[in-house]
Amino acid sequence: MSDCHEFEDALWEAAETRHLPNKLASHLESCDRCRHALATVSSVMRELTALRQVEAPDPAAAVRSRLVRQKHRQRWVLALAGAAVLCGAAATLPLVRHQAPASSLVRPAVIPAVKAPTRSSAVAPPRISEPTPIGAPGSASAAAQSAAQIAPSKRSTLGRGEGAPALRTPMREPSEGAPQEPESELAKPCYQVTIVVASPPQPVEPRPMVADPTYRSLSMPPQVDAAPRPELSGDLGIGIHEPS
Amino acid sequence: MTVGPEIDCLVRAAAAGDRGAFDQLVQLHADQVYRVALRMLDDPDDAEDVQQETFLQAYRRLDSFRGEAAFGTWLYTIAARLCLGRRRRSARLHEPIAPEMRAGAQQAHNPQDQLDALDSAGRVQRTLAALAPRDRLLIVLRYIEELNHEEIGRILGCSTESSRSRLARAKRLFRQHYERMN
Repeated sequence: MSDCHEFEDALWEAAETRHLPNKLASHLESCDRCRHALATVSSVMRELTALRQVEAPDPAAAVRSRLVRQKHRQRWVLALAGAAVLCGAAATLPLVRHQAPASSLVRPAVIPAVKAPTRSSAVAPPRISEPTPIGAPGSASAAAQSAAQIAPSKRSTLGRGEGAPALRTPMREPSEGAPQEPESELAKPCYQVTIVVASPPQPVEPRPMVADPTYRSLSMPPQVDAAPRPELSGDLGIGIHEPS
Repeated sequence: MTVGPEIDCLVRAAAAGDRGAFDQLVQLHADQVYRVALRMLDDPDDAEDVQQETFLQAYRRLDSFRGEAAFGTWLYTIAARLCLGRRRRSARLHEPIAPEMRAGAQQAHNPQDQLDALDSAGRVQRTLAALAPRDRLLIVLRYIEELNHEEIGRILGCSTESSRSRLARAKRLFRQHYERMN
């Protein structure tokens, strides 16, 4: 048995080189176990030799296929990133749309501060605390513009509010028998009120018609205030007349 | 067949930055690296990965190649380490089918012939798979790659005598497994 163990290496070598040394040959004559082992190892050696016949794939082709796989992965990542950006943008858009009216809702709240005249006091000018230029922020026109951006439901409630509809009344001279229009619009009256307030007839000191060298140099006609001139008032009958 | 001095010239040129020289080295040694990886891992895709990783590491470490051993032996060392590391990391859930077994089964049309082809082609591969990775590597390097004990010792990082004794033990274990399977 110990002899068989010693011949293990010799068996493998004999199977590999196909050459049987004398010492091993003499042992094989007397040992069936080693003969069987030699047959096994020879079979193994043949199969191992067959395993050598392997061709590696072309390294360049392998690299190319790997690059193609990598490109596919990158395309997917880009597509997913694009989809994520689109989803994010779609999610933020409604927020922006809602935020704009919310900020514009602040200005119409200024309108009720104006004291609303009644319809009976149409002749008297409306008492507005401070006239604002048209188009300036906080003015009536700006309020009208911002009110126009409000949703229809909001606009209708504002139009029927306390201050806004009443502002329109001084501009309208209600004719007798004419049906009154329903007070539903907000923007137009607000705009007109501002004009009325800005143009109350003020006593203006009449200017003498003197040629101004500055105007000449600009080749423009001198602009004179639109106030009525005193010399024309008598001809037109607008002056002070004593009651007959 | 490219001889040693030519390979040494190619290695020097590749270390100097000649990409064409390194491409030639890859072409010359691609089969041997792939073969070892395939016999160690039993999976063509894994073997391909190890092959590419081997050449990648070789390219990066060309400066550290001192020329004491053959370039092929150096590549074997890298590939063997990669294979052993991969074997350690991956716990196989099922026994993979060796490509020879698949190829043999596809070529034979008779079911009995298919079984015989599978049996004969896969017997050695199954026995190799039953061995410990180090023993398996020894058998592969010695009887498939036909390296001598000195080269095997270099690859495994041990002496010639040590590799000889380890190989003797691996052969004994291999034969035992082989006879048990048959």
